[in-house]
Parts: sequence; C-alpha cells; structure tokens
Amino acid sequence: MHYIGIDIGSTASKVSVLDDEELKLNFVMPTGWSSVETSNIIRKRLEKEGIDIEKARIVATGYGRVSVPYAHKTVTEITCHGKGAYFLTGSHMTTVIDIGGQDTKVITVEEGKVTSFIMNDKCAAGTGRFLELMANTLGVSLNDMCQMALKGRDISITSMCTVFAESEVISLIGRGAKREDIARGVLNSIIGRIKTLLNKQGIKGEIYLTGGLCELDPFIELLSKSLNQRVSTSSLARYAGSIGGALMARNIV
Amino acid sequence: MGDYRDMWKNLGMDLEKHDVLCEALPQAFGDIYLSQENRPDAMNYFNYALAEVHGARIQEIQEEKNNGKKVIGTFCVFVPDEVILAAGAVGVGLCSGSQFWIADGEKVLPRNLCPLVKAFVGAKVSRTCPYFQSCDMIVGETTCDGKKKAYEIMEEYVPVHIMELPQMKREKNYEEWQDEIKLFIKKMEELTGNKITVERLRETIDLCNRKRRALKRLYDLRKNIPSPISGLDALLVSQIAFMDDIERFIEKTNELCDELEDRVKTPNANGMKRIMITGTPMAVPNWKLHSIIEGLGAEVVVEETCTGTRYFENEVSSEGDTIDDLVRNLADRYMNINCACFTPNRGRIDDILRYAEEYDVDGVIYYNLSFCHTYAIEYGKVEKALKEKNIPLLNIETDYSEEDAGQIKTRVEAFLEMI
Amino acid sequence: MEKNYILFPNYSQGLKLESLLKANKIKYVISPTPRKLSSCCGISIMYNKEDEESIKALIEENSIEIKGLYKLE
Repeated sequence: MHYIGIDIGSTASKVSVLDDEELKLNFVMPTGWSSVETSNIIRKRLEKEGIDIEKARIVATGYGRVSVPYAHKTVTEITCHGKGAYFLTGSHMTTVIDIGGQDTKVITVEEGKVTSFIMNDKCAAGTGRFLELMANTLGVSLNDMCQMALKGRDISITSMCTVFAESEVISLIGRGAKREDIARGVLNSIIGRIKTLLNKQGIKGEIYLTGGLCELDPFIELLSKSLNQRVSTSSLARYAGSIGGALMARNIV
Repeated sequence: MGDYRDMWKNLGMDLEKHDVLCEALPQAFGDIYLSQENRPDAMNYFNYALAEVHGARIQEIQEEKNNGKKVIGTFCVFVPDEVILAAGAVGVGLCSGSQFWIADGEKVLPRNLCPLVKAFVGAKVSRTCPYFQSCDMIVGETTCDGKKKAYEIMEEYVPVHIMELPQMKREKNYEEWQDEIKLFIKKMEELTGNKITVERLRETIDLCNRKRRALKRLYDLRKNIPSPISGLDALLVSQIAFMDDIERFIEKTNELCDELEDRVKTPNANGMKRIMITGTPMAVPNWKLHSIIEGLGAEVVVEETCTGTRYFENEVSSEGDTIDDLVRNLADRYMNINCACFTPNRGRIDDILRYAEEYDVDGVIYYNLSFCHTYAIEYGKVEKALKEKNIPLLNIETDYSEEDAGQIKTRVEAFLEMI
Repeated sequence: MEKNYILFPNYSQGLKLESLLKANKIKYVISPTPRKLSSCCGISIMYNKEDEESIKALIEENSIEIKGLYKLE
C-alpha cells in the first residue's frame, strides 16, 4: 500500500510517498498559477513512477489542499509540518520554523503532536517570497544572495513592508551601497521577523527549519548565529509538509 | 418585502449607494445562515428581523417618531438603555459591522484604525444607514481613543452627547459614573421634555433586566452538549437585540428558548469541538469568524464579547426609593462590565476561566479587531491564564474584509486539528 | 437545488401567512427576498414544493395579498 502526501504551497508543490515501511519517493515542482492543473500533473507523475493512485491513500495539504480532487482527506500544513518534522528529527521536543512562500510559521511539536503554533501577519514580509523578490531586485539568484550576505556588513533594512523594503533596497543600490551589505540587510530583515515570532512563541527543544530555504546553508548559518542556537535541518526538510501528509494518510481507514 | 424607498428618501439617504448595500445581504444571509441544517423553527423570527432590518423596523421607528418619540443611537454596552427608555425615547445600537462602510470611513479617518470606528463613521458620512438617519441624538462614550475622537467628526452630522466612562474601578470611579448617568438623565429630560421619575426608571430597569434574562436563558441552553443552537444563530439573536423592540424581542427569544429546551431533552451527541470566542464585538452583519469556525465542523458555544455575555451578564437592582438609589444601582451594574478599556481588568480573566468551565469548551479563540490596542495588549494576560489551566488558545486579528478569510480558515482548522 | 418563494406587497401580509403556516404545521423559512426576484428588500417565505397546493389554498381562503409564487434554480 502507498501513502501519499501532497503539499500544494503558494510557490512550490511537494509530494512524498511512503509504503508500510519507509519513505519511497519525494519530488517537488513549481505550483504555477493553477493548483488544479498542478494536481493533475502530480497525478501523472505518480502514475509514471508506477504508483497506483486508485489503491493509494492520499492526504492533501498546503494552501491549495482543496484543489486535489483525488485526495481522501485534507489536513492543514501546520499539522503536517509538525508530523513531518517529528518523523525527520525523531526528537521529542522541537520548535519548527517553516518559511513558506506566502507565510512563516513557528510550530511547537511535543512527542509528535502540535501543541501550539503562530503565523506571521497577512503580509509577504518575512516569507520566502520576500527573499525571492529581493534577490530579483539585486539581480542574483537566491543562493547567490545568501552567499553574498555572508561577506557583507551588518546593515538593516528598516521597512516592515515588502513593498517599502524593495524601494529601500533600490535606494541603497542608488547610493552605491555594496551588494554584499544589502544582501546581508535583506537576510537580517527576514531573520528579525523570524526572531519576533520565536520570541512570542517561546523556543522549546531544538530548532528545526522546514520549507524551501532548508538547503540555503549561508541562510541557516546566519540564522543560527543570530539566534545563538544551532538551527538544524536536512535536505528532506522541504518535504516536511508532504511527509507529514503521507504519515497522516496511514491513518485513513 | 415592501417598497421602502420613499421612507429612505425622506430620511435623507443616498438611495443608490444604499441599494448596493442591500444587494449583498440576501445572498450572504442565504449562504451563511439559511444553508445551516436543522435550525430551530423559532429562528424564523430572527430571519424576519434581519431581512426587515432596514425596512419594517425602520418603519416602526418612524411611527414612534411621528408620535413624538425621540430616537437615540448608542455604540457601546456601557450606555444605560434604562435611561433612554425611561425618558420615553427609542434606543438603537448602531451596528457598524459591514466592510461596505469602510471606504467612506477612510475618507475622513486614518486607515490604521479599528474597522468598527471606520464603519460607523462611514455609515453616517455615506448616509446609508437608516438607523443613523433616524437618530435625534447619538450617545458616545470614552471607551477607546478611536471612538472618542471619531465622535468629534460625528458632531458635524448629528447632535452628540458623550458620557465619560472612568477607566479604573475604584470607589471614586463608581461615583463618577453615577454623576455621568445623572448628566445623561438631565440631557434626556431636556431632549424629550419628559421627566424621568423613580417609578418610570424602576419600570425600565425591570424591562431591561427581563431582556438580559432572556439572553442569559439562551446562553445557558448553549451549555448543553451538544448546544441546541449554532453559534451563528445565537450571534444573530444577540445582534438583533441591539435594534429590536424590547418587549417583542424578549417574547421571541423566550419562544426560541422554549423550543431549545425541548431539543435538549433528547440530546444527539455530535462530537463537535466546543469553542469560546473572547474579545471585540461582532456587529451585524459581521458573521465572519463564526461562519469559518462552524464551516469547519466545530461549534461556537459562548462569546465573551460586547455582543455576547458582556451585554447581558448581571442585572440592575431595582431596590431603592429615590433616583439616586436607582442611579447607584445602574452604575454598580454597568461598572462591572469587564471591558479592556479598564486598568487593571482582572475581572475579564476570571470571566473567561469561569465560562471555559461552565460551557465546557475545548478551546478559546481570541478575536481582535485590527488596531484595537486595549484588547490586543490584554491578550498576553489571557494567554498566560489559559496556559496555566491548559486551555488551548488561538489569536485571530482581523477586520471586516474577506481577503484574509483563507488564512484565518487555515489557522482555525489547524487549531481544531490540534485540540 | 430548486427553491420556492412567496413574495408579498408588504411584510404584514407575509407575517399573516406565516402565522397560518405555523397553525397548519406547514414547514417554511422566512428569508430576505433574493435580488433575482425583486430589488425591493424585505422578507419572503421559502416553502417546500410538495406543500404548494395547500399553501395556495390558505392564501385563497384568507385573502392574503401576495406578489406571486416564484422558483429559483
């Protein structure tokens, strides 16, 4: 039997497949403009991988979770990230930071169960989208921006709002500020937002980063430094939501 | 139905704009309310009251006006209805719960302000609320900075009387509130030409207590597991309470309770999660949070808000032989409302903990209208108290717009998965 | 789903019919009048199709003024 978790995020869609023993498969693709279209492509891809959709148990999660017509159940990404992080860390107490395309969450997971969570306000500041936008403004890739930031001086981008932050960055460019410094400022800004959420929520146990930024080592390095605590993650952490979904699918009778 | 356009025109309303407001209601009410299953039959009255909220009820108020009665608009549960009624006037709670009025409010107010304040100013400025247009005077109060300053704008449109609500609960503050009530009595006597006698005030105290008792009865029935009425329906009853004729409202609410009492005799366990909402008011037609929660298969069983328990808890004693005695009784009851405008406000924490137990709730959702600082700050105290009792809590800060409905839904859904 | 409505020239006629429906134990729901049926706001009565004949009879016998019976898909 296959258990499938499909996490339709605002930027990327993640899919994980479990059988009764282990994690068999993970893949990611851009969500594009239509979640329905995306879920059709996912279906085809799964079939190509030799997975019998009709016989599988499927949980959809993420903001596009209602657009997966062949899912048996929908579960919020908050619960799924909690389950997924527990699966990946095995730790009895974890504070999960999930930086998504459209929002950022801090989730406290105790013994595999979400005990509380907090999300940022309805705004793109402090999200993956913010970083993408800023990298675009600087004319580099996300990865390069993070690399640059390591070499930069600590400066701060004061604007809370993505739109204002962008104009601030543009005026910094105009004033001839070094790109490395600006990149550092951009990362400081998002790290500041994450810190605010963490302070509100309170840190319990180890900090674990999930979501699309988990493979950006320079970002994790800066984040750990700023929090005075090691932030752990793994290359599978971007699939935490879909893995959590697949785990939940095991409970479907 | 009926054609009320002439009446609205005589009230100086902007008919075209008002029509846009009217247009949205049947669909929204149908989708949110009439689609509920197994509603009590007695809710038909409240469907009627809502459908005719700008029609038949306004017609009734106009008839009272033609008979020489004055109409007084209020914005807050601290303003004593007893005084308005004792002066032979009609009191209406001005609702301000629609996104429709925000744009007009923002013409004269800053954007980063509570939606309730923006909406009530917008309703007046745009001449699209027949209650506002019917008012001979509105009574403001100094509960929050936003309202306090907004009344200065309202003064340009309609006579305003402001009651200065103390923000602490010391002995001297109770006395100050008595003085304010006396000033209000004087103002009402001047406006109406009617003397407020001891007998008359005692009668209206009794009348308002009967209204409180009817609402309390409804809320007590919600303590049953499962609740015999949805949170949405109970909210509608509370909202209608602010505008309806009191005697009829008491009668119809009691009829509803009779039906609910029959229902609870044969409880059908539904396994729904029981939710308390605490925080800022939800004026008509603000059904946003209730419809999200109940749309996800949980039930709202109590609202610790101004459109919930704060409106009806505690009665006014009618003991005493003089106006001074009765005014003291009024002040004692009203000053006991636990609004976040007071410092400190420990009573509210006690209320929340008590309701959590009485209504047997599985979780609490803290409802904070955007930019309402007093409630936003008080969240910390509530969070701490609930954490100690291991009662799950979710904070939702929002306004009247629908733009964040998806995100709120995700949060509430995750909260329900968690508890 | 098909929905059936009775519209009235004024609310008092609607309430008159309501009390008759109640007395005769016929199921109904008071609803704001859908905009598709009329641009005047106020109440209308929603009823079940199978009760239509008995409702018509009640309207006739008690000379209730109505604007008509309507159906919405």
